[in-house]
Formats: sequence, C-alpha cells, structure tokens
Amino acid sequence: MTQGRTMTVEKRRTVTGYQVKLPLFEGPLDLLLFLIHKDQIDIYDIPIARITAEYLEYLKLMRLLQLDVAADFLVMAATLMSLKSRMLLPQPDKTDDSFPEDPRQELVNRLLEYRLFKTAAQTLGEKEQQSTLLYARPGEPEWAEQEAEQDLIDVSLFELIDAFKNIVEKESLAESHQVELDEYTVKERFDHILTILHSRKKVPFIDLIRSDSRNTAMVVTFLALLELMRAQLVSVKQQRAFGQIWIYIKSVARDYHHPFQNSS
Amino acid sequence: MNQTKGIVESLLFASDRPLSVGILQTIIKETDVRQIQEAIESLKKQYDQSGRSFQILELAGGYQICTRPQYAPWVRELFRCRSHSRLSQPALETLAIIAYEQPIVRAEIECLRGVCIDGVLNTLLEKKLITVKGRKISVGRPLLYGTTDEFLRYFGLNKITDLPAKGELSSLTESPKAAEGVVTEYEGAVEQILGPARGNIQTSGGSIHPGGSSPG
Repeated sequence: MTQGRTMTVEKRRTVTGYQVKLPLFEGPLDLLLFLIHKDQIDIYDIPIARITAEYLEYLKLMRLLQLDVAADFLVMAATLMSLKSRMLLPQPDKTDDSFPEDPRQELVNRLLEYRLFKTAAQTLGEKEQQSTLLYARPGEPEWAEQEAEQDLIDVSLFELIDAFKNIVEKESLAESHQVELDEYTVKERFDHILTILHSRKKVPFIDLIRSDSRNTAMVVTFLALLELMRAQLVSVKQQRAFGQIWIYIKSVARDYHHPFQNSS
Repeated sequence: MNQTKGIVESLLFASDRPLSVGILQTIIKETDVRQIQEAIESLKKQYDQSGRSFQILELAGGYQICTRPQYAPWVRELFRCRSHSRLSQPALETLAIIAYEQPIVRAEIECLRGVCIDGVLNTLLEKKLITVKGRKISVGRPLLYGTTDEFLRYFGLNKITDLPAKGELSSLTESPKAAEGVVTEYEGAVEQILGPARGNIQTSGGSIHPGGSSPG
C-alpha cells in the first residue's frame, strides 16, 4: 500500500546548499489518506479544519521546493476549504428528515473507494511479483517492439533511392556479368516481400534488396517495394538519420493476400 | 504415455501462449474435450509427482507450461536482456479500477483516482493489458476500457473472478498503517522547510465537527 509513497523527491538547492526529501503522492486522495493514517484519524469522522491545514501545508512544501502542483491537488484544496466553511455553519435539528447528510459524506465515500482500489492495486502488485517468478516459453515481445517503433523516423523517397543506388553500385562491382532471362516480375517480388514481412514483420532494406543480388532482381525488388509503399502496405523507417533502413509491414497488410489481381 | 497425452504435451511445450481446451481440440480432431482435460490432469500430476522443474498452469482461460518459481533466479539470468520493468503505482491503481469496474470510461477512472490518467492509459494500452471494449451511450460517446487476456496472463490469473472480491478487499484495508519511514520523511521535510510556521498550524488543528454525527 505504501509502495507508491516511498518514492521521494530530492531537491538540491545550490544557493542554500541543503537537501530535502519529500514523499510524493499519486494524487490528492492519496495525500489525504496518508494524512489521515499519519494522524490515526477516524476516516468516518475527519476533522476537516485540521486536515485542510495539513493538506495546504503539503502544497506549500511542494511550491517551496519548486515542484509543480498539479491542478488535481488544487481542486481538492478548494473542496476541502468549502467543506471547512460548511462545517462551521450551524447544524439544523438532526431529527428532521430533511436534514442533509454530513457535508463530509461525499469526500469520505471517495476516500473509502480510493482506499479499496489502492488495496486492489497492492494485490495486483503482489500477483505481478509472483508471476514474474514463472517463466513460460517466450513469444515475441510484441509491445517492446511497438514502443521502439515509435521512436523511428520516416525515410524519404530520395534517401531510399540513394540507399538503393549505393547497394547496387557495391554489388554490381563484385558481380560478373551474365545475360539472364527476365524471370522476375514486380508482381512476383511484391508477393515475395509480403511473404517475408508476414513472417518477420520487419526486414532491413539492404537484406531485402540483396536477397537476390543480380542487377535485374535488385531493380525489380526495389520497384516492388515502391509499389508496396504506394499501396500503404509497408512503411520504411530508420532509427536515426543515415542509420539502417528497415521495412515494416503495416497492420492493414496482414490480411492482404491478392496483390495485382488484374495487373502485373 | 498414450497418444493424446503425448500430443497435448508437445503442443503445450511448443506454445508461447496459453492454449485453451478448445484450441487443443481443434488441433487434435479425433478426441473430445474430456479426453484432453484428462490428459492435462494426468500430465499435471506426473510433473508434480516426479518433481519436474516445470508445471502446467491455468492462465487466461488456457493451459501453459511454466517453470517453477524456485528456479526463477537462474531463468532470470538467462532472460536478463529481455526482462521488462514492473508496472508503476499509478499504472497498478488504474488497472485495479479497470479490472473491478469494467467496462469503464476514462472520466470515471479519473474521478476514482482523483488525478488525470492520460499517460497511464496509453502505457496500459500499449502493453495490451487493457483494450477498448466499445463506447458508452452518453454525451460524447466516450470509449469504454476493459482488461485483456494478456492482463490475466501477466498477473498469472485464469479468469477475472480469480481476483479477490471487493468485499474481501475491504477486509484487507481494515488496518491500514502509514509506513513509518514515509511519516518520518514527511515530518522531516515539514520541519526543515516550514520550521517555525509549523506551530501556528498545530494550534488551529482542533477538530471542528458537529457533535458526534458519524456518517457511514
């Protein structure tokens, strides 16, 4: 339950040279619960004036430490002060049925509910802990991959052509010239790239082009890749400028089976 | 080992996700559900009795072979590079609310937690622990969120009702204790920064509440 609170902020003040550790709270309800527990207050009978003072004191601390006070904390401060003023009003006769419920009731309900979910979160945390001890055959770490993909930058067409030119130049130097029958079609390479991407999700541009390093094949593969990009079935990305270029399959392409139905 | 048992074992061994009896049955066509369940039970018993280092667990409505917890330290070494960080406290709180109140819209979660949860929701969606379950029929048709099978698998649960009921939770919260360390830390910070001003606050600390009405 207290796991979240044990996080602390250390604020170094270069001018005065002292350090302060301040516990951080998940939100206004978390802070209120802490104050209530700290002073061993009965949650059903909260001394609003005292809690409000302590609450404001914490906000003051945050401000003094130049921490941003989230709007949520300010809303609760306003709620507390409004409650405090309502508690000061004379109470009508309690035997009267029209007597409105304790002004603190709504806050108490929210605190109780929040406390319940905090316990639930603690239970989940324990389950998480237990479950990290169990290892199953690892699948693809799908979400790790997705996160990494977000940091990628798009590759422009010119960069791609440039990269292609580089590969072709290197390869054709090494290759001896042979006359070949034109056995490649864009359609065939188009399907081929999709098949590769279906099983691997991403493939380095250079590997794709060099998978068949005869000149015609490379050109046809490149044309097929351009077709795939035009059809929005793949995206071309790299981690940093001039870095390795990767071809990613887009999720729409996962169910795409019949390219070039009527054309080649 | 009979044929069905062998097939079930090989499938569970090779799979990277929990396999339900239904999936097993579509693969092993000529058997019925009962035979498959018997095979699983028999394998479970066999692993337990012969003290294998792995076991068959019921996760997210299926069965999966997992190593036993006592071998975790070594397996962890093996997978060190892929170990991912545990969930943060805000993520756990948000997940707990979604797990118990699903389907639920963002505004309701924010109201319960008392804070804005934009970032946390995205993280949970990315990790596939929650998903959009539809839209609420109300103003703005906000998205409804619920937990996924990955949620169950991640927390080692077979079904969502494996979580303690809300009633059980409230009995767990009966004796909350603020961690001593945090209290000391907090009071230390107050003392250090506010110093003399602290006295004024304490004098105004008397409880002002109308005679003895104890709601609840």
